[in-house]
Amino acid sequence: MGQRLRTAATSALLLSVLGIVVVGAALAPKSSANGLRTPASGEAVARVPSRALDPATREIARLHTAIKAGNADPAQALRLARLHLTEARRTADPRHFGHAEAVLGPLCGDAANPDALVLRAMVHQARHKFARSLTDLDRALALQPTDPQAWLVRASVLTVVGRYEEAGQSCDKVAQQASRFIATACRAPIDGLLGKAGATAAALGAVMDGANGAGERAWGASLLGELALWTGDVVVAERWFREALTLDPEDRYSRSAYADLLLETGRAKEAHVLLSNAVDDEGLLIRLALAEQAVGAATIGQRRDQLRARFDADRRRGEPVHGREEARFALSIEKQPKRALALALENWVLQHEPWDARLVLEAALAAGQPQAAQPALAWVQATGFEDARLRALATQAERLQ
Amino acid sequence: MKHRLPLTYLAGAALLVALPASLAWAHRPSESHVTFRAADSGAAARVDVALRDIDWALAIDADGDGSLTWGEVVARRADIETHLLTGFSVRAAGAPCPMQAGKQQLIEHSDGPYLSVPVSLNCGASAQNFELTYKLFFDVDPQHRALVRIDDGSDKTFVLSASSPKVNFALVAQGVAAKPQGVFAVTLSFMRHGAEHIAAGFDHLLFLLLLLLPAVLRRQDGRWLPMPSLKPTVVEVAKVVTAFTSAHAITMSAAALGLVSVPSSLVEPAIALSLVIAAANNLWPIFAGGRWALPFSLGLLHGFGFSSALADLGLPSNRILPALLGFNLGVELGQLALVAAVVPVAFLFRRTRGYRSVAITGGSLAIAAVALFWFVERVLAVSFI
Repeated sequence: MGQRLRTAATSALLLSVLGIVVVGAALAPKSSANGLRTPASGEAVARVPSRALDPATREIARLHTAIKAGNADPAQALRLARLHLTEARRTADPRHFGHAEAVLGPLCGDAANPDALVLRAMVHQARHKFARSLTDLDRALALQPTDPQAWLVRASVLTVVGRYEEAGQSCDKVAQQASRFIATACRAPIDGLLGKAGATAAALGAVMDGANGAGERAWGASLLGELALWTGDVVVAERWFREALTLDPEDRYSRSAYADLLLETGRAKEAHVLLSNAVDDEGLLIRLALAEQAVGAATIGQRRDQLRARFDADRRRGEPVHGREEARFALSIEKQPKRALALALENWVLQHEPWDARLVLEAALAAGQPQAAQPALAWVQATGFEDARLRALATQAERLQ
Repeated sequence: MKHRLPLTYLAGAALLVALPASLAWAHRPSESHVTFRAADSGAAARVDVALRDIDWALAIDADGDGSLTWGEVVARRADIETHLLTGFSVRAAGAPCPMQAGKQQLIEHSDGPYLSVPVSLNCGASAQNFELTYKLFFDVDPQHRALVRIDDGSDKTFVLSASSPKVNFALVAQGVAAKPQGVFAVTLSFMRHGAEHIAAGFDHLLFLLLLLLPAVLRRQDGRWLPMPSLKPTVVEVAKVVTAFTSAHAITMSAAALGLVSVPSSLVEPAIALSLVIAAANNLWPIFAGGRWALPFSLGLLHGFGFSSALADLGLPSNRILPALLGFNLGVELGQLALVAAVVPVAFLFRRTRGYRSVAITGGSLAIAAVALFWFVERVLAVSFI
């Protein structure tokens, strides 16, 4: 073996290792051993709401400053809280709920402002603190007995917890003050769940012309989509969900329901597209993960880690508010039916909506414990809920018990 | 918000404004991370607060363009420090501990960028029981939480909220990370870590073994011949060990000081490959430069491997150099132990035919096979076992 070859081999070895060192040196400033670093002065280190470019943020900042300085009236505080709720809905950023609660707190003391109580009830509802939400609503209604907004929120909360009769009575109160459209829309989810989806859809469809503005029309379209789904009419359901999203692209409720429709009818690719710009929200992210899993997207591993980290973080805070999503994640992504069943049952204590019942049934069947589905089974039987898939699951669970 | 909030009335009252660009926020509820450990002064805390929350409380995005630069943070350094220090207090034995904040730095948590501030608490060296009262951000966000961790080996955690803002905890000084130690103690303790690491780090030992096996032989006319006596053998061994040690000491120190950073996804397979190269070189020596070139260049790689072990231990920030020195000495001791175990035996058997066929050829082939397996495993980042 020649001396030149040996020198060349040695040089190549040294050079390649030195190459690694040079590349490493170029990468070095990005992180130190404990993750702490001091960036360059011009480096952008965080995105924050822009007070200069975003009118809503500017207005929020202005009102916030005025309130902190102590020269704001209750109307301005209410306006700020409403802005925060609108931003929370638009961006799915839970900080806005916290900011709204901070603004509303002083108005919800002994001499409470009824509007502030209703707004705070909506914050509690969004956080699944249903009992607190109902407490605030009852206080508000004691001060302002005919407030249709309070009765409307009350109907919505009572429906989620499965108190349908009281929810219906709340809608009767709404009907005394609000338009026929709003009164009908208030009743629709309740009557729809109680085995009358077809008739309810017809009644709501008849008053859709009375919907006031895009917001109300989107609400009606979303309800009609869901009612059509319960009667098994996928084509009509799809048409309404699309209309709801055209009228209000930020309506995450309709986007979730439409994504479910696509996922269940073997159209995962379309679901993937529908959710590709998903707002940072657990309800949309779990469906995006299901779509990614179905189409074999390379991002599914990362998504799984992201969602798991979020659910873990919720539990670390001691506030698992995403029980429904976590149960679905355990069942359909992590394929852990026993864990899914425990989560679904924990969630069932809190909420009684169709997805909550379905997760209990599916997880119980997958875990081979059909008797554990008893609470959901009882709910399906008591309500007379028509959805074919849920009824099939219920029949199966019943047969196996 | 998974329930259809009837926002009908709200929509009339509040304008729904379309934004020009969607801003990428991490949408988790607001949280701070507070870590306590024992220190000379009594205790030390590290407070990590989200830049989002600081901006909300103090409007530090000076130009309001939604893009917060580090310059904008630095310009409000004093305000931020005041805000943080008035946001919590620590008492020991009934008396408040005077606090002093240190250098503000950036750190990424899973939900976005945070500002990290070290705070020394002068409670007196004898203080062991503390009471923390925390009220940062609760006034603007009652859903804010402080995730408190006690870093004394117990790893106790607490969640503080507006309705439960106080916690009592004890700090037990123990372990390398928790107890402030003298130069000698740090050196000694890292020496132990270094020795432990080399004993557990099978790939480093095998690499050294590959270098030591032929050190009792010399190459002449394409054949291995035994070394004539002990003295040239010792010189050869010393060359090999010195080259390897100085090389990995250089890269390990550079990496530990943050001058160089090579992802372990690159280093780990490269280390496996270095064993294959060293084994091949025993069978067909092709590298020039006598006995030092190969150990030195591949030793540079192994140094990165050591540095990640060192990073996992956590270097005490005020005792970096003693820690590095200790770790290097520990690694060196481990290596010398191997030398002491292998070289005398190899020297005794160097004249046998079996030594060349079994030890050099067989040993190198066996190690190369294991290393190839590691290489594939590390490239694919999977474990076959």
